[in-house]
Amino acid sequence: MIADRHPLEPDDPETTPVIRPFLLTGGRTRPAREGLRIETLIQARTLIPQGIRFEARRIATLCQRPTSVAEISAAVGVPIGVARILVADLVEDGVVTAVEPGTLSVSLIERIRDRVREL
Amino acid sequence: MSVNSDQLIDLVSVKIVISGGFGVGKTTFVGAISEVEPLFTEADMTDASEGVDDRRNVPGKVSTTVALDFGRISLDESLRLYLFGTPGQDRYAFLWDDLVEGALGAVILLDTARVEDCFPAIDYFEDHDIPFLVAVNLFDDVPRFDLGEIREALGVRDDIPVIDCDARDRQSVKQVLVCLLENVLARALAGQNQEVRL
Ligand SMILES: Nc1nc2c(ncn2[C@@H]2O[C@H](COP(=O)(O)OP(=O)(O)OP(=O)(O)O)[C@@H](O)[C@H]2O)c(=O)[nH]1
Ligand SMILES: [Mg+2]
Repeated sequence: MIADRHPLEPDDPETTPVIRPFLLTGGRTRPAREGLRIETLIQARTLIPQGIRFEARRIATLCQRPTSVAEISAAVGVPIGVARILVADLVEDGVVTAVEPGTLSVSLIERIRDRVREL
Repeated sequence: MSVNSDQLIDLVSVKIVISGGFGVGKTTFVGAISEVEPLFTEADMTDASEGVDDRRNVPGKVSTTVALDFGRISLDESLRLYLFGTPGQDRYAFLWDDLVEGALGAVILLDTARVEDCFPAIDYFEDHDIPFLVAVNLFDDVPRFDLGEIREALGVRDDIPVIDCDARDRQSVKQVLVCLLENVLARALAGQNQEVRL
């Protein structure tokens, strides 16, 4: 038999901490719009409107520079599913915009390859 | 000041997925090249999403979190490459579609001591027609195998690269990514359409 060098077993549900992440979304588990991928860049549209609070304000502030949904999730400290719902609401409200994915042309692939090679 | 929408069009983010079995070196691989801490989380919604229609009940439901590998590489001012690791455990398989959608390609890490652990990943990327390669992570305490033998054991197509890698080494990780990108490029050039929708 193959020796297992990783004695750790998958997380035991009994001991893994539990959270209530969807309180922040009013219980919603689906975003108000589709198409927000984890790598989708979010950019604040305008100055942050008065009256938006807490997580929404944090996200709008972060996205003064283009920030991916995954990074928003990490920075705000919420799971990606929750971040996506919060971001979708802000897109709907016109506070932020999502950068649409472009087309993957041959020249773009070449550019990515060359840049990675130069790292 | 509002943002000029022309600026947004120039900005591109792409992602590559890092996959493979439990403990195969995914986090190490991402960490070797990322410019940020390689971690974010997702909630295990398998409990929370039961009976989603009854929204009043959802906030009360609890869920566990799963840590996901995450890496960022700014390639130039307007081009960002993200790396995402797939969660190793079967119970998180439901997350894969979400992580993988729109990916440029995938790196499947392989530990020669447990070759069969990477079969689910190979099946997944073959089924979804996503370019991938197999990178054999060189653990110190494990005998080396000939790459040809490994390829045979995996039964992957001839055009799928099977290469060595040291997930701890930035140069090695870089080479793996370049190899994958060459493969993506070859596929794009071979395809009738020279443009693939991201
Ligand atoms: N010798 C050697 N050790 C490695 C290499 N890559 C990873 N390791 C070690 O192997 C162990 C597992 O690596 P991780 O990067 O945590 O693996 P993982 O795939 O993220 O593991 P899970 O997330 O638990 O599935 C760690 O102790 C690493 O230091 C390698 O190329 N060579
Ligand atoms: Mg890991």
